[in-house]
Amino acid sequence: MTGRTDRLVRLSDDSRILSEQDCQAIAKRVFAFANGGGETSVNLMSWWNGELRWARNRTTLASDRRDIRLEIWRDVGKGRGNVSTNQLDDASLEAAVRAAERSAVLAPIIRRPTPTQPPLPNPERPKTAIWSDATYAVTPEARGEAARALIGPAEAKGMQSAGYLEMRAGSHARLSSTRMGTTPAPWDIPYTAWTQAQCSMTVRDKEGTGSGWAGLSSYDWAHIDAPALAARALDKCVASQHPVTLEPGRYTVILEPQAVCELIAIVATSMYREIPEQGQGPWVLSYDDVLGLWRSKLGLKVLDERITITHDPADPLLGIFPEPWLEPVTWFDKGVLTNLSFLRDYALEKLNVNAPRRALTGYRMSGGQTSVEEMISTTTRGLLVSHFSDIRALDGNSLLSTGLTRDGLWLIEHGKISKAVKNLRFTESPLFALNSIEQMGVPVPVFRPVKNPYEQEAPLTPAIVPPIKSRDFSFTSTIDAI
Amino acid sequence: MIQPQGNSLVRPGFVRRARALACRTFGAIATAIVSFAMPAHAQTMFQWPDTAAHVSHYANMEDCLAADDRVKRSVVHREELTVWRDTIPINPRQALEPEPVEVAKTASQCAARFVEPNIDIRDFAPALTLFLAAGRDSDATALVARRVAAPARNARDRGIVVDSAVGIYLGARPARLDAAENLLLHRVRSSSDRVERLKTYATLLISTRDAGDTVRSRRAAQWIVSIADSLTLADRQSDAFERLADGNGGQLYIYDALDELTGFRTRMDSLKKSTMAYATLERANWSRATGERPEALQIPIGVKAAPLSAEHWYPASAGSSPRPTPGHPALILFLEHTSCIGDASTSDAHPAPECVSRMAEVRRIAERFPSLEIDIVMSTHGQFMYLSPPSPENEATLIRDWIDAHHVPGAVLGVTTTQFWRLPAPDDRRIDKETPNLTHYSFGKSWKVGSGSMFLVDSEGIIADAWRLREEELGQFIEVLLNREHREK
Repeated sequence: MTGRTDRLVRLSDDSRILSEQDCQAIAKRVFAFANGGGETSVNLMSWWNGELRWARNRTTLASDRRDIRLEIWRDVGKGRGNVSTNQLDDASLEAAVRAAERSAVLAPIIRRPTPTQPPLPNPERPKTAIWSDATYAVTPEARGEAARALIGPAEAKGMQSAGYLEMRAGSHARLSSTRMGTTPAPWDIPYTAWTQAQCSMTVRDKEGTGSGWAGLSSYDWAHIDAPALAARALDKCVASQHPVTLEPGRYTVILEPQAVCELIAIVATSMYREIPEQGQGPWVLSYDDVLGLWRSKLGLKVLDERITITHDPADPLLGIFPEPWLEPVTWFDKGVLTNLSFLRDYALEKLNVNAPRRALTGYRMSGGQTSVEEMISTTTRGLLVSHFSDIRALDGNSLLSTGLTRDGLWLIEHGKISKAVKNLRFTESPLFALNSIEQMGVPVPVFRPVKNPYEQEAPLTPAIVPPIKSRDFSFTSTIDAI
Repeated sequence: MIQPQGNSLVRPGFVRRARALACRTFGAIATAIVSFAMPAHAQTMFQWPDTAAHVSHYANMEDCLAADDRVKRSVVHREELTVWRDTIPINPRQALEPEPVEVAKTASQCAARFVEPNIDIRDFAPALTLFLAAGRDSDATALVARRVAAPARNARDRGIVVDSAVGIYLGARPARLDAAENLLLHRVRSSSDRVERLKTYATLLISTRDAGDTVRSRRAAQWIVSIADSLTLADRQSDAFERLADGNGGQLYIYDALDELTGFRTRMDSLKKSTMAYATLERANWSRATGERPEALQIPIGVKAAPLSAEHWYPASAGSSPRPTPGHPALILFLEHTSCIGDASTSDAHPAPECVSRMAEVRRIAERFPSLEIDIVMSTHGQFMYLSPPSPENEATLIRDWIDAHHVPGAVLGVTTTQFWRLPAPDDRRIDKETPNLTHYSFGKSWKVGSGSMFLVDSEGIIADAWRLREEELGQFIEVLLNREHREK
């Protein structure tokens, strides 16, 4: 047993992920084991995941895990082999390198040299705010204490609460033996470390008639006011008890920021240039017979003019992975569609620029100064929506979507919340809602964690979104679930 | 009784050694006895698992075909490690060469369990493919006969069966031209539709010519010409006729057949006389095939070649005189680096195979005919591989380096700066204007020049060929033009 545990990397509590020095040292050791020349590349990922989940006011899961993944590529002769491991002692590393070399020999690939190879471009990677010492410092005990503080008020009021607290950290580096200490290639990944914290909580009454939810995610645990979230979830639960059934139809809706964010997620899936330029999606304008191509709505006003959606990698609240060619983007400028994402091939061929436009992931949406309370007070008859769930698109061209309201839906009558309402299914296009805006509030960060950025290689997706009041939002049926 | 301790101490040394030896010997014997007594199977010795694929155990034909395909791909892959087929001349009789031994052996082993009379007629296509791959042609013939004889809803369905069988026969290696021809002729005899028969004969012409069987291709050409003479005006104006030859119309088949019957030697004889004589011959064939006037020939033969224009010439001195050079035969090759170089977003920007083969072909021609002028025409696009060059000059230099790397001796490169405009911001898409070279070398709607297009121009600046530029024929064209030039001088 001693031999086995010795093979696993030992990291102390204050170094739960690999540091830059650790990565370079491991890479150098791997490179030193290579036989027979050729390039050796390593992809080193480490992560830590501390979580606590509770249900019915009792903890059901508390874990503090960490792991490492080392991928080794060896180019030997005409072949390329790769192997993955998480065992970092010398013997294991050497065995892994040998295994990669054996697989390279067994599976030679056809390599046609390019006749000429101009120098590769060297893209810059911006600095982004994705690391927080506060997140990294949270211990299992601290998570337990935080959960106790969240559960306590709900329990004291006789409510059932369920929730999830999670802190993650990870590091990633992709290094090559041929470029150690020199300019990295675009596909190399300089050492990057990131954190992500999330806290979400659902409170329900024991009769199962009311439900309240609140949640927030950020790279920085210090940005998350967990007790305030707990209080909000509890308040919503209390207020949503004993809902009445309301006839579906078109209503003026006040969408809280979380609900707005969930609607915009549908829009984000369409923000690619290729879609309208192939004659599909919501942003296609028409076919140009003279030029023989599809024109898009780029440059045209497509949303309410109060809406501007941007992303600036330097925004301290919108940190995403510092990928090459990451630049500030304005997706919608005062309602005008100004950007759609595209790949680097497209950029070179159609725009003659050497930079892709990254997909709409993290973003900041403009807002107004109207508070939700003011929106309510100026509404004769409408609905206040906490958030949506199970949204799916029905039609790619209009973005017509359907989904359910969840965890709190209230009827507003004559400027006041009159009663809680049973959940409704909506069938509406987010574009319609974003074109029928009456009022907008102050943008705030919302709950938008990435499930596992390390495994999915997905970027972090922070968003800052305002509440909005929109008219004639279509609800098509009632839902019994609370 | 207790022995006095001193006795053992005084025991002589040889006695102690003898006892020790006896103990060791006895111990060894005992161990050996125990070892022999142990059953052999109690030892678990590691053995590599049997990972060999026993194709003879495969229960269905799809598995056999998949196995055969895997073997074929591994053979091809192994060959491609050392042989780049696209850089060597095309083997015109490749279709008649057998499959590699491993492939045929796999098919044979796997097909052993399938007996023809027991094959379900619904498995006709995979079974026929497998029998042909296994070299069981008699079983294949019996199967096809059984399938064709099976009841069909109508003639169209039966025609589909025949088409499938012909496709499999021609796709097999070696291609079974005999069997395919028999089936097609059987089909023709059973059909009174002249357009349908024309199509069938054209299939035969194309497949046999591609396989290098000139006897069969000439025979098919004769049948096409015969049936063409019997086509009525209604036949020629029918939708079915218009749909032939990938929508270009059945007249292309007829023209192709006339060309086949004219023969390469006859065409070369007319070219030896003059390019216009050759053009007249081709135009006459076109006129006979289509009923149109001779000048309507869609192929730009006998047309004056426009001078090439370019902002960047490599070598620079090439730009000081008109190209193609008057009084000298020239081969003009149009290429677009955007079509030739693969994925722009990575460093593995491999050239497209068709460009590789084209450049290799031009290199061989340049080496064979050092006196032939070779003009490569390219244009800028604002990008090169994974780069966005800052200026057209910069891009032209990158293009030149790329062409230089193909080592075509004596080739002249002309790079045109493509004029373009952009859609209004924020769209910003680049819209290229057609370069003068593209305009001058495109002839009507039917002859658009593209990457890989070649034109052979004689010493009088007249296009001698732009169509049938297969390497072995192209070489003969060039030889004739160069001899003519020599004679004229």
